[in-house]
Amino acid sequence: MKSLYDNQHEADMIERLKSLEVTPPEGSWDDIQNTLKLKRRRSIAIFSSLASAATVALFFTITGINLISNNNSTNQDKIAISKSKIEIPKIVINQPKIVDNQNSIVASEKKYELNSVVEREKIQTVKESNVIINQLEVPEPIQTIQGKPLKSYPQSQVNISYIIKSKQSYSKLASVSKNDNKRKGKWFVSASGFPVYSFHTAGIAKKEGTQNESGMMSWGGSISVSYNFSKSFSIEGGISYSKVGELEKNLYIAGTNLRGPAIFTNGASSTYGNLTLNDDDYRLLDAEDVSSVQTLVATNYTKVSGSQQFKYIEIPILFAKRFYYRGFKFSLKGGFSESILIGNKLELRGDKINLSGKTAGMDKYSSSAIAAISLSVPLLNKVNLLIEPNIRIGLKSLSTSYGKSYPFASYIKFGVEVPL
Amino acid sequence: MKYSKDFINRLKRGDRAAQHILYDAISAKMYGVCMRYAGNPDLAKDILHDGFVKVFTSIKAYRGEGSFEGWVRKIIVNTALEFLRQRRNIEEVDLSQASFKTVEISSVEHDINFFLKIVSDLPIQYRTVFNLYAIDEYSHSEIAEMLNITESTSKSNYSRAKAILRDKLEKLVDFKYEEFIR
Repeated sequence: MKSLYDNQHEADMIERLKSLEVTPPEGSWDDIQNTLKLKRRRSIAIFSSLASAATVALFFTITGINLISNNNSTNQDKIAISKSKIEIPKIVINQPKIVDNQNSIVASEKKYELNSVVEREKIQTVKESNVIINQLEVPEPIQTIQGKPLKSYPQSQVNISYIIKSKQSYSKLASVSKNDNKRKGKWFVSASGFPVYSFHTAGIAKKEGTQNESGMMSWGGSISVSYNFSKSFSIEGGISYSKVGELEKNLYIAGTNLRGPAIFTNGASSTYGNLTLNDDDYRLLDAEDVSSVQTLVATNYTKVSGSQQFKYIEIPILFAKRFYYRGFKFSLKGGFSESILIGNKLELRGDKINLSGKTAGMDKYSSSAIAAISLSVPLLNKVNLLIEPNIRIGLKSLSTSYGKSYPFASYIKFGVEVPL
Repeated sequence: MKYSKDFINRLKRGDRAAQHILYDAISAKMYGVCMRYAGNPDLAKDILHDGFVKVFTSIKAYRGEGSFEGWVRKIIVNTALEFLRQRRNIEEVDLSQASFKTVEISSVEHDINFFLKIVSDLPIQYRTVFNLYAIDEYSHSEIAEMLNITESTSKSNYSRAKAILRDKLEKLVDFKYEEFIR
């Protein structure tokens, strides 16, 4: 029989498909609305976090710049009083001698008596006119201003009290500054241990497929060597060990007497890769397998929790910018690291059952970016206590079925630092 | 349907009422698009959800060039392609091994359901190319770029899809004729 079909039928089908309308399932609009609300909340939270971080960073930057500029000025060995109306280019003070062995100011009031021809009211205070004490050498007597002899000027107008009151803090600053000058061009070595929290970005964002995964706490240690190649900058390298990974819940262990698709997989999936058991007498399934396998006939299977542990040796290279605040040394650090996977372990624990295995598909070598802020507190002579929060994020995405996810670790190093 | 500038501005401000109006107006059409690409209602629902979220969150990018509904449709189509790509179906489909499901013609009550079913039953890459070319009117070069395939692959996928559909349409037409003369 000759077919009655002609091209008109095809054209008709295309036209009808073009104008196809199907009522969406109930609740679709509510779902969309909820997602939009959640997104808005999340973006507000991200904005607030960024704003807070920016504020903290700005605070440290401004404070750092301020202190660094003070330090730079103190190295000029000059005391300058600037004046708004009468030009006083420089007051050079000779005969330094006010620094004792402890780097504290021991100047007598007499030593700070400044003479000037200018009107008392027009003289700014020492504080206001940026009197800069360099290396804490405040000499006397005052020479001349623009060739004229200086008359006696009561010290009260010069607000010497500011310097005296600040004696202690200047002393601290001097201590750090002096040490820093000593340390320029020097090598330092540091050793530290640290708690590590590790996870991956899709897990933090709670992407679909990560609901059974959570971050993991563990430990690490490092030895670093840094070199101060300028007054404010240094380069740091070393070697570090850390254990990272994630925790996985809602896994099931079954005997081999089960049927269905799961029997062929022998493993559950995770963002890092498939979980596989060392023991062939058991099968590992995830919740999805268990619910989807209609023909599952395992006589007994038990729920377990897993931890995927990856041990890495890491070689970081970091650049650091130092600044000082209230006698403490801070460093902003940034750089990269190359890691070698030396251990890959899966531990499964359940009621009366402990099994081990590994995560398949892990890269042997990986690269990460690191950012850190470090605080160095003088502890003993030449020994500093080091406290350093770090964040390290992998540069290569994990191979997931739902998009990109980058592994990260955040850790706070506690250690000591000594000059070589 | 033409949307006023004021309405678009309300959407840009995130006005919930305006969003609901838009959803009510075009969700059936867009769900139809999703059904064509997804081939099953569950996936189509997910595509519709993500597509509309994208429309509402990226509406500031709409500059009023071209029809607004066309712009929304484009987003929905792109979302559908993303979903299919994520599931790696497009890349992984082995066309030489593709088996074509049998359509039970006797169970078809309405032509449109039948059309939708035979399109859904196409192997995923044939279906995607057929939808993009024949229904959404993209050119083969555009499809090649969107699916990261060559233009000739797009053309051959389309002609194979058409051949399968024609075969099934023929059966439907003949079946209906036989029913009629019985």
